[in-house]
Amino acid sequence: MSSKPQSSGLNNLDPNAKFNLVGNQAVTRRDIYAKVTGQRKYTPDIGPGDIGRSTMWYAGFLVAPHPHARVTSIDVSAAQAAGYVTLVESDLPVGALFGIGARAYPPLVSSEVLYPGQPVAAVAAPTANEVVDALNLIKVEYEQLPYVFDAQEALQASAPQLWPGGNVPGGGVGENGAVTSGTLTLNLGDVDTALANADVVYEDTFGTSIQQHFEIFPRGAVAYWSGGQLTVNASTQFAWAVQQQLAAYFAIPATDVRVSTSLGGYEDGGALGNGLGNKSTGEEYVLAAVLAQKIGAPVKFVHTRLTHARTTTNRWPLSATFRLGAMNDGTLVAIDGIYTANVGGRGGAQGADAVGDFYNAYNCPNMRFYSIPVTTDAYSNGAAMRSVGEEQGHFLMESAIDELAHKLNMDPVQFRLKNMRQAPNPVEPFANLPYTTIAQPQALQEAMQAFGWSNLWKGWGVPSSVNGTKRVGVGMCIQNASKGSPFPPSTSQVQVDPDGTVTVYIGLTDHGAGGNTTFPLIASEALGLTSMANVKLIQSDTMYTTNASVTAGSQSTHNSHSLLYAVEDLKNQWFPIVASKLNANANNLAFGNDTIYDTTNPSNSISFNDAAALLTSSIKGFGVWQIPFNVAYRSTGARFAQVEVDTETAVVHVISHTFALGLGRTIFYKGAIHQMMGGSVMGIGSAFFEELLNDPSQNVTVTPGFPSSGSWLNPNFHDYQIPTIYENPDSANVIPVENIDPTGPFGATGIGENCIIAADISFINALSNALGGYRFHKTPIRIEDVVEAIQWMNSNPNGASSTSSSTTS
Amino acid sequence: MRVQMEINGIRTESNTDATTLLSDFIREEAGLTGTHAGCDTSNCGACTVLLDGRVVKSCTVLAVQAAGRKVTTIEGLGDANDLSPVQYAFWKKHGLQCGFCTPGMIVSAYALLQRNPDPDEEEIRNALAGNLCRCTGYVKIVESVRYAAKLTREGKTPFRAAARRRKEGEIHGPPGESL
Repeated sequence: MSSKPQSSGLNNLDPNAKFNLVGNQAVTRRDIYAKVTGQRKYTPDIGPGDIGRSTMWYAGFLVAPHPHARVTSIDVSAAQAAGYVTLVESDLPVGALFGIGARAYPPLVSSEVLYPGQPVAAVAAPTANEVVDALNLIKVEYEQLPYVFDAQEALQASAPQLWPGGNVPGGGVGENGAVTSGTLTLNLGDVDTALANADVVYEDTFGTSIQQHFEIFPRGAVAYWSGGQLTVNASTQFAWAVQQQLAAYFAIPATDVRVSTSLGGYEDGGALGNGLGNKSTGEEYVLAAVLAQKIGAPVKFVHTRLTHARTTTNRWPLSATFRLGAMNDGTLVAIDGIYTANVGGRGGAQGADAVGDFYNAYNCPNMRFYSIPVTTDAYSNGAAMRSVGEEQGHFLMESAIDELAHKLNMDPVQFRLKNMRQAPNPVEPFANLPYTTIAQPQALQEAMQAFGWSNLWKGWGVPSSVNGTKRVGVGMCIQNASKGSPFPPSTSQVQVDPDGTVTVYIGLTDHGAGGNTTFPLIASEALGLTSMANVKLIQSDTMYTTNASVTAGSQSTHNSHSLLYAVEDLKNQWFPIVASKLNANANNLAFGNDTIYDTTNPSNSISFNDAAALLTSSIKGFGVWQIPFNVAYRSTGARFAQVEVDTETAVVHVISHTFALGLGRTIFYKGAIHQMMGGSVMGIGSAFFEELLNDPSQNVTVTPGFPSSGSWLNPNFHDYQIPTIYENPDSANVIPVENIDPTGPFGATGIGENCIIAADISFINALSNALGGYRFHKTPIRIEDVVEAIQWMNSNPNGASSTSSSTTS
Repeated sequence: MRVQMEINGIRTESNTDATTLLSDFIREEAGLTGTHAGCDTSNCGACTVLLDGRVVKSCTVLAVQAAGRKVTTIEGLGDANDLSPVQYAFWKKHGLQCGFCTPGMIVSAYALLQRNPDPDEEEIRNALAGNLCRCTGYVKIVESVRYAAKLTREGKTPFRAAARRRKEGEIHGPPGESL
């Protein structure tokens, strides 16, 4: 390691340590009672009474149905005459931008529409029912412009140019002066020579589609002013960034802006439903505040399903062309990859994360990566959706790697065991950063055994069983994904009252992942408690908690490491008082099993509550944690799948899925295990159904009342299909691997996004095995793609050869 | 127009538009926000309630269509004094994550067990096919419903004790006893 990670003295990293609460399988989600009784309030459930007001207004977006257009006029007079309050771009502060990332943007269209679903106006009405009426009274005229959906087409000189400086955010200056970043090139060794000398060279192109979070709970906010002070109850994963943005937007001190994901009550935090990366920031947070200021009443602004699907962020389509070189003994000698990311109408410079996955996952002396982000009119904004590119990148990588192993006629597990990055001493090759921990090869070996790979794998293109028209195949993949980014430090506080009550204050939130159990659990364990009964939690409220990073990137558990420092600080205030009572040296005292005891004489102890009663007032400890910059902070695992396909109907069914993931240390056991199951099933949608579609036809006569050509096709749950209760594997086996991470609290690494990353390609590799080794090139694998594969298999009875090019020298 | 209905045994009356959805009536007029709205197209099922004992998606029913009838929402299935077996089972088996879809899931499962106390797995999946969840992958939801059915069939009623202990603040009690 290039530097010794900092660690709290309370951080027990012993792999065999016994804990009271950490990893305890009986610990239950703390807010579960409120959720099963319907008492839990989410942002849309906040009424005027909840915030001490008597009235509330309701707001919605008018969005452009066109992919690329100039707004020639907006007439809001009829809406205003009917008593509604409207907002268009000219009503907003000049030059006030919003958004995280390279291309900050005004929250309403200033002149040019860049994607179907871009907000053009906002309106507020005194009842929720009237919002649609009010929107219908606004008349917008557009001059439609040529548009481009495909990233490769957008790279052509003849393509419509969507931003000043062109369609590649290549280090130029975007609209309103926002600096954009550009392409990425990485080069290691000598790729061209290695490819020339390789025994097998495999070249192919893979791609993914636009997908959307489609979390059941749509994003939204409730905003209200008290004098010059603004409160926004937002369904956000990053309250602190939203606070800063709102303060900048209104040019007021951040201390006059309160952003909360709760109503301010204990354990009520995280009223944002599922986040999935879509709830970092949002136009409606600021527009609700602008409208509330204008109206002088609270405004609730919650997306409809249409605007949620088309105005908020999306998982960007990523494609890659690879040339891979290997020797006959299965050694990977060259990787040449060109990635193209379609980042949408106002996306930034994504793509690099997926590149990083490939060079991290595999050891190879010669690697060259080129990544190019491309602006198109296809959708809003390529951003995080349960990973920042890794989900797509793993489909590309593990498709290509699997096919290379196929070319070598080598067992896909053996190929990975030979070439993947693994213990001991894994290092990220380009910046030469040591890993904090790695779960390989343990994760792959454990998953392989649990799945029974050696009995099920019959060879490339050879199904494990054929029963009439039903063919069963098996497949596998590995994963190695980055975990978040070094955002600003996370802080927290832990308070003890004289009555023994503990209160945890943390700026992170809970978006279904279980943070509001994990955070108090970590603090309780550090305090030596055997129960969380007297531990309260206040989270993600800029008024009551201190700064924290974004609750994203699978790093919240890691970021709650600050709690150990907070308990350390608390201890330094408390133990001298306890020491005089116990007639002991404060330096020798420790927490343990609901007591504070003298480590030199353990029978000399005092109960936690009696020790608290020694206090004359509450004491509070403060903790800071910053993810280290000089290490590679990765999540690693392996998946195996068994998939059945009926060659008569082309219906695909996932029979079983085995998933081993390095968690570092399992903190909240039920939460972790259940997330691993949920993410894997979500991957079935990514593999087989999910694609946000546009009408691709240019210059079609527009039907009055319907969106024009180039507009959205499926912004709803009916046409955009997510997995239903029918899409379950018959068996879902999840295996937490405990690869202690010395930088995490009690050795934890975090989990979140890694639950879905690579799930899709594990199913697809298994389907390929069932269908004679047919290689699928683009997700989602729709039923027509399966039909094509079946036809290919029937016309290639020997199977096990590919449609794509390869050379053997 | 004046619309009156019985929601969770309580007569609720209000002036409302002819176009008001039952889901909005329940949320805005009765103030019962456990009934959620997640889609606009009757797909997600977060708004599921019972109308005269039958499962409906309350976003597809006008409030006036429910006039004079009995509506049961998640809040009507149990309270701090007495949980329904389904609520208890979703609690015990962790049949949720973010919880936004949970009220609809529980109401659909409750109605299933009312008409079929011993459903097989296919019957459970059929009954919940109109309820979408993005977090759990449904695995623990199916397990929760099976457990609720078992408790119901065996006549076990730990629900009151659980609710009382929750009320008394023991929900976060020692592991193994905290449900």
